[in-house]
Amino acid sequence: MTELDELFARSRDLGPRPSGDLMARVLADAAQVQVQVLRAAPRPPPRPEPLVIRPATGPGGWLMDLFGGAGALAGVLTAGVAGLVLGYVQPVGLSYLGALLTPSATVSQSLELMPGLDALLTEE
Amino acid sequence: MARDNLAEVGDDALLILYANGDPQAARLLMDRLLPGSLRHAARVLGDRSEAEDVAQEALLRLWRVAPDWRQGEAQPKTWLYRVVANLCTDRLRARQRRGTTPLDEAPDPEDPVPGVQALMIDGERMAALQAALLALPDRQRQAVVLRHIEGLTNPEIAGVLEIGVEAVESLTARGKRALQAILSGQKSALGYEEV
Repeated sequence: MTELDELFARSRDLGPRPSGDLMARVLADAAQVQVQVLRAAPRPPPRPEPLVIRPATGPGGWLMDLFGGAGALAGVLTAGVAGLVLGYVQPVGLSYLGALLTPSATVSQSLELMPGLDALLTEE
Repeated sequence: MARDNLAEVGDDALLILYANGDPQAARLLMDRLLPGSLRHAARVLGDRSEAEDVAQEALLRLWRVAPDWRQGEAQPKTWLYRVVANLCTDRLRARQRRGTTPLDEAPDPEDPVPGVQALMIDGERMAALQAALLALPDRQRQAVVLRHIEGLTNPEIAGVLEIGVEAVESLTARGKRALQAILSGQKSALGYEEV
């Protein structure tokens, strides 16, 4: 081994060693970056929340529960009010429709829902 | 994972464990990689304070790259030496632009007092080696430090300096010859017998 090789070997042994302050700085950097890395990591998609049916509260809550919620109750009430209005007003066009659907003697004779069907059904 | 169990784990696996949140991985990696990075930077820059900044910055970059690290593609140690080499080169260029010389880089007196020569100790030999290293061009210095002080193989140095293996062989050979030439005149001052 030459003197230079010996110097190299000694340099490896006697080289600067990390101070406590430097190691603390490096570890602080590592901890800070690790937190950022873990925060930035993609997370699994959230699981859908289970369906929870909560009883309606307030006055009339029992009625809403009976019909299956406020929406269903509103629909039933709207249909009821519409029926009352139609029954009270009795629009002209509605009476024709009623006459068609009501089985009376005059109308049933003239109503041909499927003209020509008799010819197909007739046996020779 | 317990620290004892991690002792046998490779650097690249440790880096992945660090990215996955293992609390012990960073300290183990630091224990393995910081001394070499600091030695490398100190020998190339000749300034302890600057070398500490470079080593800290290099490791900071390693922590940041950890989530994207792919096991088996590169070794953290080699990657870190490359970052240190580039950071040192940047600082040396900045020094040249400013025209400044750090205190540690100031050359030693050419003619030591004769009575002191017999009392040469390791520290003075190291100072002489450091002064000689700083007289080399940047790339030669990096190659010599990595080869003869850090003990890297020529292919590893080629990866660090991003040059071919033949270029590494040439740089280390020329660097070593230059060092021998610089130090040959100080043999007796360094406590070596003249041959």
